[in-house]
Amino acid sequence: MATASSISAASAALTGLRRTRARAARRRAIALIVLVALTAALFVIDLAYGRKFYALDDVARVVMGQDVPGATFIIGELRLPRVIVGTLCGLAFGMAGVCFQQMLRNTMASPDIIGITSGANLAAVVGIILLKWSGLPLSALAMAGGLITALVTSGLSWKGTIAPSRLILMGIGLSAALNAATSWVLIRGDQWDIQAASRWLTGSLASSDWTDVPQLAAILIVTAVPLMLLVGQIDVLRLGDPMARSLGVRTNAVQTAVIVLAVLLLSSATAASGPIAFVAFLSGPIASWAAGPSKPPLAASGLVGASIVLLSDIVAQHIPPTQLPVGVVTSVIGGPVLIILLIRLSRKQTLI
Amino acid sequence: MTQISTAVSPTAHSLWADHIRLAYEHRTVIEDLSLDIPQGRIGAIIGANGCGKSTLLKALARLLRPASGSVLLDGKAINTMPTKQVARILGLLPQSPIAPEGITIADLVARGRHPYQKLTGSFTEADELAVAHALEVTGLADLAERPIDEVSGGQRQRAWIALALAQQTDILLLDEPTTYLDIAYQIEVLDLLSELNAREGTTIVMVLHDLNQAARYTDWILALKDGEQAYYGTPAEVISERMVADVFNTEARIVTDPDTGLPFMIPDARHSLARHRSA
Repeated sequence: MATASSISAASAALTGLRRTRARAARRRAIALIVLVALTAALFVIDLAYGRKFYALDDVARVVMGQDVPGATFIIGELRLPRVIVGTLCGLAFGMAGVCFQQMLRNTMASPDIIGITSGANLAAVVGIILLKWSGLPLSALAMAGGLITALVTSGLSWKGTIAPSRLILMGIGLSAALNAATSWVLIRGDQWDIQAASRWLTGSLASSDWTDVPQLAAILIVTAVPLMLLVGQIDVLRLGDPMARSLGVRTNAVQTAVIVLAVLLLSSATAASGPIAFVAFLSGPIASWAAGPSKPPLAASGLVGASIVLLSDIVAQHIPPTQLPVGVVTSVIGGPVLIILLIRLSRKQTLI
Repeated sequence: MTQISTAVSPTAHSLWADHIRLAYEHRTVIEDLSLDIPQGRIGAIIGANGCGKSTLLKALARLLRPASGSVLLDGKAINTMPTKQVARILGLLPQSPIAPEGITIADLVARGRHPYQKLTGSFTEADELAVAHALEVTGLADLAERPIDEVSGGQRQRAWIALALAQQTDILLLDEPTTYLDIAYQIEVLDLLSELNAREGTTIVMVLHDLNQAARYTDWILALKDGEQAYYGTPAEVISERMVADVFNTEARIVTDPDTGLPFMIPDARHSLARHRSA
């Protein structure tokens, strides 16, 4: 009797388990397919729809490398690199943001809120204004700035392990100090440099060209692939440090690796486009909503980030009377969404 | 010292704290403590708040590295062993684990299979069966697809225990598994653990606050006072008026539970509202 009942109960449990896992997997897959399609559609629209509209077959032929009179230069040399850089930066911001948010179990733990972006900004502004650097050295400097900030913030909030709430508060404080330093460097610059630095600080794709693409793509691959492999460990870290360690996760090693990889990813994108406001912060929650809570949505969040940047770029170029930097548009969209998110969060859980 | 009989199965693993000193930064919590965990038995660590109970449990679970001495799992220092290998032998249910919002019970319990997963994260049939079994014995089969944030506190605690069961460890450590639960759920959780021990021979060590529950549900009790072993033995040996006065600084009477024959603690009559009312 006992065996009969235990077998039937076990099969109920087994079907329940299989069904819940299959449902979660289906939701993740649908979210990914929709997001890939959305990103691809926005990519093409952003490419085709400028001051002059190009037919889709012209766009396709230029992308394929054919010579189309009147379109090859505008699309191939001006729009394509800009759209590619925008996509890559969006992917990078989205993935870096969600790694921090999931691992530290807090939406507020996004790198643009805990000061890491501010650290990269300060380093880049110092590079542009005081050192007159550009290109690869500037990227490296921004990365160093982001990494040092991450190191200092985690160091100051270290208590044998990373304490998320301390890290967030410490980061917000440090961020304010870093922004003040950035302003101070800015007012010391020449007129021309200040303009360049300010435009960069707003987040802009206007000056993107082909030289940005290879290094950005390389860093994206080098950091995103290991991060994807760490998804299982980030997932278990969501259960809290003691539980994760009990389940065999080397928490300090994994957290350090994720932070270093995510900061490199974020800073390299920041160096290319400037800090496009709110993308890192917004992508994770939107991706979680789309892909469900069953796994940290790294890829989905990257695609959401890319979609936000591309959509904002389209809006920035066409809706207002004059072209705006893309960061202005993400701020206009991101600000209200942040407030809505904060209201929803504060109803459900403590913010910090 | 009392020898607690062990129930050794051929696959049993041993856990032994060898002269460990436990400290946070500069504050020493436990000076020098040795404890050989009886295999296949259920034990409780008791003591006043701040006496080092949870700290000791953390050290046994390799979450805290001893400042000196070592915790030995099968004779090997636990901090030097690969953490995933340890995770297949020893499980811990911490005091306040965190459930990702919106996740279903089955999905949460499936996390217990992490120590067995490869880098690619493939979930095998063995994993499925272990999770289904854990859901079944914790009575959660019908709740498998419910989001964890929509079930009662008792069901949530059972889900965490199910996660630990899915981990299929020979040794299970629990930090106050009955806290925040109402009395029915407390008894349910303790019954579940004794069934687990009886059926699978799992060695269980838990930090408990309720002395009467400790008396009923354990083979051995360790009473800590200021980070030192004050009393150790069977419940009948440890639960005494002298121990309660000594360890908890409280006057109590120990009577024999008429149903179980086990010691039962009743706080001294002076600790009551009736004292004020009768005057």
